[in-house]
Amino acid sequence: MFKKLKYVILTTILFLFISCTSSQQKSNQPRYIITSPEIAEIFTLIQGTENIIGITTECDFPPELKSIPKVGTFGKVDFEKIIALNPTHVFTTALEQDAITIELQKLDIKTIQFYPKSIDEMLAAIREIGIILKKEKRADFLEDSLQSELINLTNQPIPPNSTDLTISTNLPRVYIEIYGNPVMSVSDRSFVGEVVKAAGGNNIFSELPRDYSRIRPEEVIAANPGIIILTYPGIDAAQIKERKGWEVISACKNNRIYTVDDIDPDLILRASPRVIEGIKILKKIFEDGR
Amino acid sequence: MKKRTLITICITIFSIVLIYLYLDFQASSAHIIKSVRFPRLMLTFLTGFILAGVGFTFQVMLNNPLADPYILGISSGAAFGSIVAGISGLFILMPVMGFGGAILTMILVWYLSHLGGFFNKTKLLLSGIIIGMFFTALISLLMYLNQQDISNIINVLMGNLGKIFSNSEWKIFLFVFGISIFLMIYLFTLSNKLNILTTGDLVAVSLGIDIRKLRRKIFIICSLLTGITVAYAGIIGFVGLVVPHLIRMMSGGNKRFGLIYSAFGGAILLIFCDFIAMHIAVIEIPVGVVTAFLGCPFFLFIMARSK
Repeated sequence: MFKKLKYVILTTILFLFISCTSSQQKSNQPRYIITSPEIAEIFTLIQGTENIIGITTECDFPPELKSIPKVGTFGKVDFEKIIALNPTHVFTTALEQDAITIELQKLDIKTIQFYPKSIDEMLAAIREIGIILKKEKRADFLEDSLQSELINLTNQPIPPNSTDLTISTNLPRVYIEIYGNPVMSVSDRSFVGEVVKAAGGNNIFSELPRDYSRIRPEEVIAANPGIIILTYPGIDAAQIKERKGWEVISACKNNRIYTVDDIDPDLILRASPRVIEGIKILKKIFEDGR
Repeated sequence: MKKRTLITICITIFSIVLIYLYLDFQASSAHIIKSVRFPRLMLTFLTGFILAGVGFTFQVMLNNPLADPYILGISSGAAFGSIVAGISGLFILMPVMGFGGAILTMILVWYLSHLGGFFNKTKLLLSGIIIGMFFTALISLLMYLNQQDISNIINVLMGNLGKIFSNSEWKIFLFVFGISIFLMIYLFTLSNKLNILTTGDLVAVSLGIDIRKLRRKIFIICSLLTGITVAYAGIIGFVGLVVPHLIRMMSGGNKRFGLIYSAFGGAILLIFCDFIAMHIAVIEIPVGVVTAFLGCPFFLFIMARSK
């Protein structure tokens, strides 16, 4: 009886040993989990989907990420799944993910937190992630090319016979609506606000109590924006024009209301390298009516 | 008598000043007053009018000083309907789905309170509370699963009178406004019978009142009215609870006009609270928070005095 038990114990120990060594072999390769869609975009731009073993459902760009296992959503991850995947690093961001980061640290999982709030911070994040991935050259090249493209985009040729003052008054007045009930907009300090500025627009809510804040509908009517951009699905231009009292707004009168069909909101809401594309589309929208 | 006329004059002057301020304070153009502030005033008036009126009726009908328009679970069902529409991105359908939720809840409560073959106020109260709790649980689940829509859900749960009407919605609202006022007037015609109900079911029956029929009628009318307010403005607490008590304290034993006094009192109080909600902070705060802030200390005051 005891002899049998001995064999059982011995084989179990042997099995455990083998399984440990095999997992050690695996861990020679870094294993990354990414919980933020912005970081996923930056990461994949530098080294593709290689070594990514888990993402959250919001990480939907590039499309190759679809086949990678999901560990939860942006606000709620499954810690057991993360532990089971045995990552070497987890990339997180701030906001709801501050709490997730702390929980992961308690579990002795190495976390790297990035929360780019502006275009500059996004570019800096590219460099830093390049260093972490030991792909500094590629990251630097990317950052430099994005930087120069950005400078090309934002340096508008100044028309002759005009002073700075007339240019700023000529800028199209833009109203960004990020949520419909209650109506919410963005300030200049938010990422979207910066993108609008870079594309040559003049945000009607340059100052707000919060970067993303509830606003009074009557303020939109009073500000009379020339362009309205809606960054959430399920609403169309007709619904905006139908709003009581909004028919006097010049954007409604001149049909200058743009929805998610005109511009993919991820291009301007996410601090990702695709923002360059977003600025290009916005610029086109702003210049159309001049 | 003199004191009473003085109070009436004071309240009338206060109401006029309040409505003027509500429409004109920091408004930048006449267009804004006409097409943004005025619809909001109408919605606020109707909501306060119904809430306090229904609250008064429920307190009498259920013979329970803690009753408010939301006690029979209608609000939770209506809020659930609105929230389902809101998180699906169908903002335009929120009032319709909210009202649908109210009707559904009303049918459920009705059915539950008739289980076992008989119907009385205790069964009605218990059924209402149970169904209300069930829908509250569903709302909590939706809140947990749809954290990206939290501001919309908060709007429904804490009240939002800043609804943006579309032109067609506004026409529908005016129609609903008319129907609501008509229902309130009908409720008032029942108030004589209701007054008799306060002396106890036995007395009422001996005076020839069909108390079951009366309770059913009031339940249906009040549910429809509550459904309308929640569908448009979300859940706004305390108005329906506190105003009827205040009116009863002020007008003494005269219960005949209690419903009308309550309804107008509720409208003025809610306009006042919404004015504060709009202007006290940089960001508009939910009106339900303001009514609770004013309502809680006031409720304590009533309790202390009634000792």
